[in-house]
Amino acid sequence: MIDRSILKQALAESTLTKIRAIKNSKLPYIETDRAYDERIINLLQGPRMVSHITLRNQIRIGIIAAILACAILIMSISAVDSRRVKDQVNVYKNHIVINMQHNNSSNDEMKIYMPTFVPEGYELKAVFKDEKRTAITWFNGLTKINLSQKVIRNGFVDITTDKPGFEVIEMGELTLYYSDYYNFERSVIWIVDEYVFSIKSDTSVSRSDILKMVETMGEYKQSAPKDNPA
Amino acid sequence: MLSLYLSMLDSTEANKRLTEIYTENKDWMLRFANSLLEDENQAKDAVHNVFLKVIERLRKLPDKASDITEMFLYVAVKNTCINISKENKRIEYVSADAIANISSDENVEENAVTKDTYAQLLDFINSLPEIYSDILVLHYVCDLPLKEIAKMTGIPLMTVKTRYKRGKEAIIKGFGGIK
Repeated sequence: MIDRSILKQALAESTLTKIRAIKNSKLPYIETDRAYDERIINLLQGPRMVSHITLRNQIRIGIIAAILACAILIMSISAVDSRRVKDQVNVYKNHIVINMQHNNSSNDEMKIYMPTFVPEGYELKAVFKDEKRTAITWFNGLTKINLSQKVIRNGFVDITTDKPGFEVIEMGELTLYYSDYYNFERSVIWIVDEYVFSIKSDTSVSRSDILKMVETMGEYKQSAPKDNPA
Repeated sequence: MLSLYLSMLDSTEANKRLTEIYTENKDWMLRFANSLLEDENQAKDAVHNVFLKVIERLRKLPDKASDITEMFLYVAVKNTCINISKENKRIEYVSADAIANISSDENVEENAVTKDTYAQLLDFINSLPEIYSDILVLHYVCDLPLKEIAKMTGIPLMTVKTRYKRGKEAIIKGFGGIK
């Protein structure tokens, strides 16, 4: 039995730790300017808010909204065009789109994969699963590693490629999409058949350890991993 | 931008409070939103929407900028970014980066430690999917009723209730109850 005040303290500490990590990270700062002010006016919604805006600004909002509506329409048409491409992997300027079609196996039960290697000091703390996904977490103090697995039988995976620290790594038959994001978090995403895997951690876990986890992934049956999906 | 937000408030006191909240938190909120959305403009939209929520819920927050306000803003930024991502990408279109944050709403199988210590409770909370821990933070720490949480996050009330129930049940199962 835990005291409500202790629970409150633990919940607060957990969240404040995440906020401190953001504040202390090397995530880029974003400047705000006058153009930003004008751009966000059109996002104001609701009669109470509009009533505080002058008639002149309401007209400006209307004009901006009309321009935005046209822009959205043009972007939608472009998006539809890009989705007509049917190749399995489509490489664009800023992202890669992978088309996943695995209708034949739609009735199969989802297999669960886990690595045999986990960096020293990390302990398995939680496994969450349902019919289409699993999320596994290892902890070492306050740092954690998340392994996620999702079944996508008929859909797309969109991977952003123009972010800092992004690289494509070939590992045997696997293509890994690795990201070391502003010294804030590391993540790697890869696809095997109908499964999309992801490992995510902060930068206290090394790149080589994360890749070794990928390398040692195997099907999890009761207590022992078997059959590397690669 | 600040003057825009301030124009929506009625009293000087409210202006002062929003000024404090805005100036003290704007930078990290924008950086956090940008890390989730990977788009500066969308990050600015997200933070803007959060401040609209701050205005709406100003009376629910403490008098001065505080840790509780930061936690409220953290959860608000995250949920706003999730909502923006959903609007950007249609259902069949999955952002690979979002997959890293997958967690399930159903069939929760928690692997809770049983010793009743603060460190283990903290570990346990950190291992909970954030869809549960965020609701618990807003309810237990920020003292928001579930109905308010649903309004603030844009999550349906039934889903908020389910997440609250499952998060609480996980803690009760792991630690024997909450008194």
